Amino acid sequence: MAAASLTKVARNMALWTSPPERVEHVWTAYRNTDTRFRALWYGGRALPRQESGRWHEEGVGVAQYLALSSNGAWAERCRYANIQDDVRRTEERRRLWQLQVVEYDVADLSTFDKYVACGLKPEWAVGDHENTWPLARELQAAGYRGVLSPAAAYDRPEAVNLTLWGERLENVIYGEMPDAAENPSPDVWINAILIADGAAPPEHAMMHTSYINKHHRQFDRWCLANGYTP
Amino acid sequence: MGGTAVLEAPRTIEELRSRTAELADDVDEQLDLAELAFSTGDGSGEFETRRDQRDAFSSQLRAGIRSLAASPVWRSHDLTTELLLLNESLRDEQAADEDATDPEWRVREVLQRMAIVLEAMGRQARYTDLDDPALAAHYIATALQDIEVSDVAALLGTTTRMVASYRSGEIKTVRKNKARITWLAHLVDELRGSVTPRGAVLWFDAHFPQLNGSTPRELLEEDPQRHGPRLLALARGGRGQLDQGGAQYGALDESA
Repeated sequence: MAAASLTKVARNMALWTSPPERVEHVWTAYRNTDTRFRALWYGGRALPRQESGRWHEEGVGVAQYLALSSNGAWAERCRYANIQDDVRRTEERRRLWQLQVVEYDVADLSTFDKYVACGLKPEWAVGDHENTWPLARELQAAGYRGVLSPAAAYDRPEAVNLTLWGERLENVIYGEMPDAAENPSPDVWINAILIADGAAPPEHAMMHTSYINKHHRQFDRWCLANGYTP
Repeated sequence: MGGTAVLEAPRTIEELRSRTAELADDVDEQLDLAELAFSTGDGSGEFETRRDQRDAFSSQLRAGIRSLAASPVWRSHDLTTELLLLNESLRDEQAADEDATDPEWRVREVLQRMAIVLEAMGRQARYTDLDDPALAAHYIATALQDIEVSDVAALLGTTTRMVASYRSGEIKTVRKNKARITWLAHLVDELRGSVTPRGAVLWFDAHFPQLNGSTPRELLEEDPQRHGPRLLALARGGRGQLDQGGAQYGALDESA
């Protein structure tokens, strides 16, 4: 086959053997932030400078990294700030937000099994961020608006993170979370309740955090149970 | 409908900061009104009243933005361009919102983006302050007021007597360790939104995998100018809102 044809074939081959299921749902999600800043990322046209994460690269848009449990959000903080003892943990002063996420076309890679079912490497969920970037680009090119994936930080069974690509704006709620149907533009707006201000991560979250460059116990167990070698 | 009021461009840095903060407050107030109207189902009275209130606010906002954009300090800054573009978007959305009820929250969306840009502008002005070593030293010494003075001195690479002088503000010129002091000030400023003063000091001695196991203190002592941006990115991790980090990104030219 001529080189040009080979290139065309390679370009058309997705990373997956079958595409991840597209899901739509109203999720309750959580995010922890600095006490002086808003809950969500606004990239702006001028200077989108969110530090690279698992599902996006710095300078190429922004992503909203959310956990589907409050401990999951706190574990993200413990992992990033390398908080491994009570001396530092009790000096933390962060905000915890509860978010009502109304979304569709979210790629369901919420378990290591689902990665494998799509022909994808499950270690991408918990490994180095750069390894996941090609998948992130492909998912976005295929029109997915976000992705569900096993939490890399919160090392507990069934801990899942929800990542959304692109800007979102928070609509801060001071009472009960309203009915999701009242949000006139859920593709832009996310209802947000500030549930903790100036708070420290709970001990449980710290004790169940998988730290950078350390083993992810849930993934290790899955590998053992499935005879998988990354 | 009257013409847009013209405000003089701010003449001093303090006036500039004050004008930025006022604009941010005005936008926040308008957002609060929109939120209240939505949550209570109160369409805020007759159409003429809503439209007049909206037009009065827009006129005031436009005058404020123009005065900022006319200031030598902000004139060529990317954030100013962002703000001007958003103001044009606001006009478009208001024109499309014929009964001034904003049912799809499009006007509100633009206002919130404006609020974010104005907040970033306020922060940028603060970052410019911290680039002055004397102000930076004073900032660090007062932000860590409750920390053992010997610990603060060790962080600054100076004596306990100098820390006392920094705290009093009597030092107008810093002669030694300027780079270390300014980077330290940016780092402390960044950390104060996430940790206590003691937590900030502990951060400097924590080993981070992102720093290949080094501590921030080790890297600051080795070469603050070289390691500063990386440390600032680490301290800022988890947030963003348009700031790139450090003085060399988007700094204000106060000599303009």
